[in-house]
Amino acid sequence: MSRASTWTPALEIERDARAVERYARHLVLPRGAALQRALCAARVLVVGCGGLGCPVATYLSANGVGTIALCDADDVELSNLHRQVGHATSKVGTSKSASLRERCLGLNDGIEIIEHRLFVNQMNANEMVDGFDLVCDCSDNPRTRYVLSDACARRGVPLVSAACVGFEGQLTVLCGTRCWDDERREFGAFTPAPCYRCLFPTPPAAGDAGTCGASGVLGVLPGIVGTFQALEAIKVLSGIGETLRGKMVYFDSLSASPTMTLNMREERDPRCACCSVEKFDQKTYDYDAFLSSTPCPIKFVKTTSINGVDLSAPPAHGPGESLDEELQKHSAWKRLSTGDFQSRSSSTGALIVDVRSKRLFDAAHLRGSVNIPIEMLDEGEWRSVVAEADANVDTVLFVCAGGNNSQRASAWFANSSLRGFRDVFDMRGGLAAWRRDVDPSFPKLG
Amino acid sequence: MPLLNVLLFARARELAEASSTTLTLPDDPPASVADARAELLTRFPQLSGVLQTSIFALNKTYVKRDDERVAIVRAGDELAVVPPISGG
Ligand SMILES: [Zn+2]
Repeated sequence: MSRASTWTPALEIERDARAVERYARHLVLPRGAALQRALCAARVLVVGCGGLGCPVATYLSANGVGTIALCDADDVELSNLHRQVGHATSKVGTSKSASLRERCLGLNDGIEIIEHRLFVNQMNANEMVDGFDLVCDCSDNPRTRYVLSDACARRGVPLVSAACVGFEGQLTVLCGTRCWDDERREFGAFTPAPCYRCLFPTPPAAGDAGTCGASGVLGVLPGIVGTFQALEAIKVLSGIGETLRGKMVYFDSLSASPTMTLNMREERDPRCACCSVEKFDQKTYDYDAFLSSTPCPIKFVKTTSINGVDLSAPPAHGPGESLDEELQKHSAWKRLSTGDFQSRSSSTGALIVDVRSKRLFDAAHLRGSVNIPIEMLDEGEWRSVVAEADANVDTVLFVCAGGNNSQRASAWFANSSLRGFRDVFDMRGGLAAWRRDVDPSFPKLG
Repeated sequence: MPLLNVLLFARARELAEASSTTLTLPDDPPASVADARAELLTRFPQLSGVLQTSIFALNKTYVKRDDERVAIVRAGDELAVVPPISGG
């Protein structure tokens, strides 16, 4: 017996009682059917599957955004879970984008989730954002923020940008807006708005960038800011209400009136290096030079340049060996493998100096090491921390999280009057390498 | 002598070890946001890096870098210093 449908649905996307029922509480809202049609037709790219990406992707999925692409190359880590609530404990060590995709499809099996197990970079950004009605920036570093905004500004894709660190967050709509035209059943024309560069033409100096790994973050904060971001995406896509285009919401968790709305510029900056120049070739643009253009405000660095090697320059790509080769030419100190570092450090007269922040040091440090955060490192601080033991120290071993700041510290020390006849070393790869090679129980704090 | 309330956020708050501060600025000729920036830097030299990259908002409205000299500060105004944050 065939059953002819006896009713007309609000949604043409799916002649399915489940869709109407699933979105019933949307459909009965004022303009709710148009809102739901916009969401069901929308294609949204979510860049970053972490603290912000989890609430953004889960809410947009539950709310019925038709196609969501999730982009992240990282694996889930134990230290993510206090805030990245889209990932189960059992997913530690597995792909973030795959984990979040599974979570989203569990919430709503009527949508499509595309998984991109990669990071957005200047070579792939244009292709990544093309074809989307909106992009959510849920990334965790300045480079990705500029790359993504540049691509969205040039390709004409609205960008909902959120960020948080410590107890604070910020949220705005960038690059432009394009909202649903319910008469025509399609997304309308793109209206340009300022890009991330228009607001922040000067990038943060290394160490000032405010990332969660270095500075910590209150677990619930990205939940709030990311949910706010999902709301903003829904408003931009559907055209309901007033968006944060030309405005920024600043969220201060510790305040009794935690949100503050700032009026930002409405128009693009006519001198913006990206959105206001005729030609901007993202693939050849020198992001390294741009991102290192703000000098590092670390005290000792002002005077420390060794044979033309600028120690204030941030490492090109996170923890690595970027400074290594050039500085080693002058062999002011030696780099050690984790194994050699371990044997050197056990001799009498060896002093391990950990140059991470005090909070990271307090969370976990090598037994017997002392802490001088890199931004504090100067001769006075050295004397006050090392004090009477100083005279007996014949070997100084610097260590940091990933093996970059320990090189800066070694370069400074080896050229300071403190050096005397001491041997100076630092550990290649930092405590991340120590954890990998020597003691897997050393907690991963980043 | 106008008193300007300055709200510090994120890295600026961390480095200055204060979430707000008050600046006393001359009123003849009237002080501008550029004067406030200079005074802030004198008071908190450790903000030199972060002030370069921050948004300045006078009474909750963004002041373009080019307009800092002409944006006049009046008694009781509020200046927010908003550095970019990157975490996610
Ligand atoms: Zn721009």
